[in-house]
Amino acid sequence: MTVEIVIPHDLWDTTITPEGVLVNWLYEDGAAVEAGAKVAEIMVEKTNFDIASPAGGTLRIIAKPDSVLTPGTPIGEIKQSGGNE
Amino acid sequence: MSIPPHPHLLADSRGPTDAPWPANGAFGPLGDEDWLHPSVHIARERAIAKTVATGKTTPSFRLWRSLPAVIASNADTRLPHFDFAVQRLALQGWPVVVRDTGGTAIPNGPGVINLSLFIARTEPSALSIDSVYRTLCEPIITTLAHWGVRAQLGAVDDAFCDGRYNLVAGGRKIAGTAQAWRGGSRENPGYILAHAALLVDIDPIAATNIVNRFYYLAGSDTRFDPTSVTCLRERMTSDPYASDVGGDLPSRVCARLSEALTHRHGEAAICP
Repeated sequence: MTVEIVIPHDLWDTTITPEGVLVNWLYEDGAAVEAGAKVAEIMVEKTNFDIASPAGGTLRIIAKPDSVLTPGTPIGEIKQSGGNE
Repeated sequence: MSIPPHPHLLADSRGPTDAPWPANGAFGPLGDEDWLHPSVHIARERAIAKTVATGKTTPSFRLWRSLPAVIASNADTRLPHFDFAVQRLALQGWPVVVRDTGGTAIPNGPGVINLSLFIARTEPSALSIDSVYRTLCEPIITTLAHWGVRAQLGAVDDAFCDGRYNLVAGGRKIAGTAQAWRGGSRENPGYILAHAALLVDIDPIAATNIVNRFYYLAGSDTRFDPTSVTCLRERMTSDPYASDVGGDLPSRVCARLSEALTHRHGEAAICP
């Protein structure tokens, strides 16, 4: 099963700042990550937010660093171990 | 020990190498104080933040000054020659450390007053990026007024680490701000860390040039305009506390800022 990594809808007030930027991935594409691990960092108005993995498995990166993001945007996927897509 | 030119510098001999090279003294007199290395401050702040995250302390402020350094952000670590820039600048007396809050690289040193704010992050948070910045900046605005400087929130084109929540005086950046919001779930209690760097007694041209040099060495085309930045010493119309016994201008500003914080938030709000 594949689970999306999504920017939380309520992470920041989009009426003040509509967009953020992906700063860093902390793991490489294809890396194994644990559920809850901090996998990425995004920045809004010079404020860094952690993005945690929603599940354990293999990371697939969709959004590259410096991508402009809005809440609800999927930035990656986790392919869970042992599941079929 | 000399380091051979990095390959990325051989192809282009231009760059901010002819700019005034800031000696450490360009960041205000080092004096007799034992200024801490900024990495020590950052480590202390991570420890304070973890305590705050457990909800065991009320929101806290910390005032600090450091040895001259370039304080970079996580985003800067992705620059193609970041490690080379760190190595080269360290040999030239400018350590580079990485902070947790956002933005881009800034110069720091004894002429800069750093104000850190720590708040436990609850979910859902009653706070916003905007409200945290205003909590951080209002005491600084009050303090600057003692010296006849009117500052307001705003962006300054071509200033280092620019953003809408700089403090601006006379159209130039006089303080920069940034935040980090960590954790915040029931399983992972978190904290908000907000930084302000108030430029009190520096050479703004040298300060900007050290940041430009960092980006040049790191393989970035990013450059900032030295005339976009100012400091309190440049802007102040008088120094009402000049007769205070002991201490330099940044020390006097620290004292007034500490008073402003205590007046607004209480004595327990300031941590070492």
